Amino acid sequence: MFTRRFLVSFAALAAGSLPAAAFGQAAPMTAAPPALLPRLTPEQLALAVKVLNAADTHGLAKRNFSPGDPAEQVTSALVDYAREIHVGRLAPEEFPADWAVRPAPYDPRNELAAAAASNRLGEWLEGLPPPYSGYRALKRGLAQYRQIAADGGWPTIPAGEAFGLGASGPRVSALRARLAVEDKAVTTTGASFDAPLQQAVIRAQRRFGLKPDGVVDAGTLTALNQPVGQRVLQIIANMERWRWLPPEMPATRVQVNSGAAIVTLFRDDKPVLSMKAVSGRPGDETPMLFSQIHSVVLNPPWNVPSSIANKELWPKEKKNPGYLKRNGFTVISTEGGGSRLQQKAGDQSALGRYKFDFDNPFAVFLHDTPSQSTFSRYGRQASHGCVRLEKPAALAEALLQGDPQWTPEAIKSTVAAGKTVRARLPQQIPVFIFYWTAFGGADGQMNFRSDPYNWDRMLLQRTGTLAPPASKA
Amino acid sequence: MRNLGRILLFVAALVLALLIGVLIGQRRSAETASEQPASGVQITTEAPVSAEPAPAPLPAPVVAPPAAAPVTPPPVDQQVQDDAAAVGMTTRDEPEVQDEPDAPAGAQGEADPAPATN
Repeated sequence: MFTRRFLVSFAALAAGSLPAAAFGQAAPMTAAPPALLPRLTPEQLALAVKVLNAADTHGLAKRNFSPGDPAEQVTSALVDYAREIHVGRLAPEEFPADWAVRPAPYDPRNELAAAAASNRLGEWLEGLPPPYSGYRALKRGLAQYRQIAADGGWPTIPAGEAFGLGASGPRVSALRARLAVEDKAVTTTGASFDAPLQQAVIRAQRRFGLKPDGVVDAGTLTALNQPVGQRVLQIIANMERWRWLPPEMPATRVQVNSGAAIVTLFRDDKPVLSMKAVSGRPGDETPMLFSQIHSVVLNPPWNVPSSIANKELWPKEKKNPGYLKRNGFTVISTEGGGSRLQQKAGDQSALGRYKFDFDNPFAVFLHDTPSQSTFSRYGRQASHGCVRLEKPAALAEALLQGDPQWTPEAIKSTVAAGKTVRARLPQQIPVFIFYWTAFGGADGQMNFRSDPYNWDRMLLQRTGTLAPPASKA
Repeated sequence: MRNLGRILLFVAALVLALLIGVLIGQRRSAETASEQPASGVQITTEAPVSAEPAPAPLPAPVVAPPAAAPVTPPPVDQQVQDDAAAVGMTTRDEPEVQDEPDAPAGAQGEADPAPATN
């Protein structure tokens, strides 16, 4: 294989540590100086033209080359294409701080020269896109939704009151026509809202991450009425993010999607445990990052970040004296004469009974929560940036599995005793926090989320797919 | 003289009584006449057909919210698979195969009888 992508973070993962470079600073490249552009044979040039002209199937800019185009022009375009499809289109300085999932700079010229010289250009080109089924699903989805757009898209369902089973009229007819575009089980004839149509609405609501109750309410209507072009753009933005992943994922890992607020544990490359999560609210976005969980803190106290203390807790204390004491907060003096707030471990603790620690510069982690009601919501971007877990006890047991000291009974009894204890994992477990708003479901259907952080738009603007935002005067 | 005065007073009272009686009789006679139908007027016991009263404004209809289907979570295994897709299906795929496979690698040059295909 010619894949030579090394993510800064992945290199750190392989080494078992994550230096500061893992969170955004590019590592120096030690590769050989780039070769000059190789001279491709006529057959290689023909293959290059064919691959370049299909770049748009990967969501990249469309190229229009002809077999007779100058060889240097084609070869130069092939270098650009290789870089874009392998590590994406953003330069390191174009990543915002909280997009801390970044590939190292990649110059494909040496690999291209080697591939051309060994007559393995096709194999090299095939190995450049992200090798994951999630990326392939998006590529198929891109072709599907572009075809839908070419066929005229889908009708808009007129605004109005929520409607459901038993309704009839032109809005029901529009709903049928709309759903049938993506769901081949829906028949387009009939103006009544019958049971099969209710099931189709439920399927659509699941694809959009909405409450699957079969009622076409405002949220469902908004999701259904998104233009197909918007869905195409979402797919392109998410394909770009796949290019930031390591070329190979560790077999055991925790993956988080902050856009859908879901957490899954993979073991031996298979999903074995999943749960709902609560991720950061807009303005307090959960950053994208790679790290390694090194310990589980049972009955953790909460060392309140000063920003939260100043913005939220101290104002509550002033408005309602005694608030801090009633909620288990204590003021701790710090060096230099300052102070900070700490909430003692216990039922009131904002961190609940479990905290999963990993190094990162954003001071975010996974943790339990006493606010269980948020998990029943379908939009779960509500935290200050940390990831709250629906089943923290199950995750703690799974991560500490194999440690004779931390049997499930030992974990439970320690939690029940209320004492703060740090349980180090026998082996660090990689954790990946991503932001996906479009993905192929287990059934092959495309799923979409609402881009709660507006990061799709930001990415599309930075890659030039969308016009940049108007600059402020 | 005294008797003449008495007689005149009696006569005056009698005349006054007669006048009152005549007036009362006339009034009763007039009432009776007015209850008779005028010529060309039909008397009927049916209720007269009157114009429909303007309908009173109806209260705003109370729209019942549409019936929501019970939310049934999928089986646990299915949920895990769905969630795995949602967090990024990082199962590794084999590379996509190009339509035209690479030609076998070989030396290129005048002595090579089989031209390279890429």
